[in-house]
Amino acid sequence: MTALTILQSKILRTKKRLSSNVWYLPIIVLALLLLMTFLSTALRGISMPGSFGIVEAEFPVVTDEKTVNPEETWAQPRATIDNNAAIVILTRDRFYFGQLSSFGKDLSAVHNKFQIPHIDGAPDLPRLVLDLSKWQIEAKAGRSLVFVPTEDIPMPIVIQCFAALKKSGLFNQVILGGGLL
Amino acid sequence: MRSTLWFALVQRTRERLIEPLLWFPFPALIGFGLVIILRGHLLTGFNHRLGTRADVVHLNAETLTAPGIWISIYQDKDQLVLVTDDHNRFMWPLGTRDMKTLKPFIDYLNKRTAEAAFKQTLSLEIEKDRTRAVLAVDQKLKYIHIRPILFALVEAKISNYGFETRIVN
Repeated sequence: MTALTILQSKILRTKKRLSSNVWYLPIIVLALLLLMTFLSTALRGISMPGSFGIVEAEFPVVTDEKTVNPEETWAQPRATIDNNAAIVILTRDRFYFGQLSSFGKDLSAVHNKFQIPHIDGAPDLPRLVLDLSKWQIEAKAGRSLVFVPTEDIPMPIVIQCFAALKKSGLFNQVILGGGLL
Repeated sequence: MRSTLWFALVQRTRERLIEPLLWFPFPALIGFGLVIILRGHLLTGFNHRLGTRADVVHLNAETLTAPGIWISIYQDKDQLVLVTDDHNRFMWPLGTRDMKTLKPFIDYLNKRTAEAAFKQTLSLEIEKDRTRAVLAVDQKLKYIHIRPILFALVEAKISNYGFETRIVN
């Protein structure tokens, strides 16, 4: 077999290979997949942030007073909420705060409750924290706080107020109240 | 005519198969396809936030390391929709006060806490974050919509919970 014949054979095979359309579809599909990978990566990078945080909350848990056996007498009940605990109520137009006892009876009495109006519809959290710190010393209030938003408050505001009260450091325990009022 | 077409088809296939295809693209295509699927578009366990419509509040808070019992909460028309990290779905009317509608959700929470307790018992380690409920609450919701969920957490004896936030740098 001469070199010319081999060359002609190769040319023929190459022509056949190139004339076949089996190559085109995979290339198109592969290019589309590459494009999809790039676009999905870019879109996910934009839409999903890398880090999420948490504003922690808790429900108060108290130990049972009932003693099962003599070995368990050390388990004294832990008082988490009493009449001295502070309560902050968030409504659409203002904060109300005071001791829990002042909202439990004589609700109409004004001498034992305090209010802080919102500024242009936004809760005045710096003033609330400042007034709470002064009031806490004067009223000898407890270190537990019950935060009760009314039903129509949007959740972002609830979460931000709750986080601010926790961050203030005035209370050991901040509890999100559900249905006290 | 039919036999001629068939013969031509066989001939073309034979020629194609005889020719050495040094670059055979299909394994590569399968690989790319799997990468795209496994990156989370279909594999639900890869990222539990996919497929939910909860847009959480932007707030700098303590970094969330372990999601625990993650629950996404959003509104769909007049229904409150809850999607969990293992893609269980619960729905009830907005502002419901009927605890019966929450029963499937409470049963689910009981099951999750029992599973977590069992795993912790086996591993002889107590991790507070495992039984913590993380609520990813959509910004459009109000407090009245979340209150039944808090009651459900109490019913399931989950005392430790939190609200997920998106940290903005």
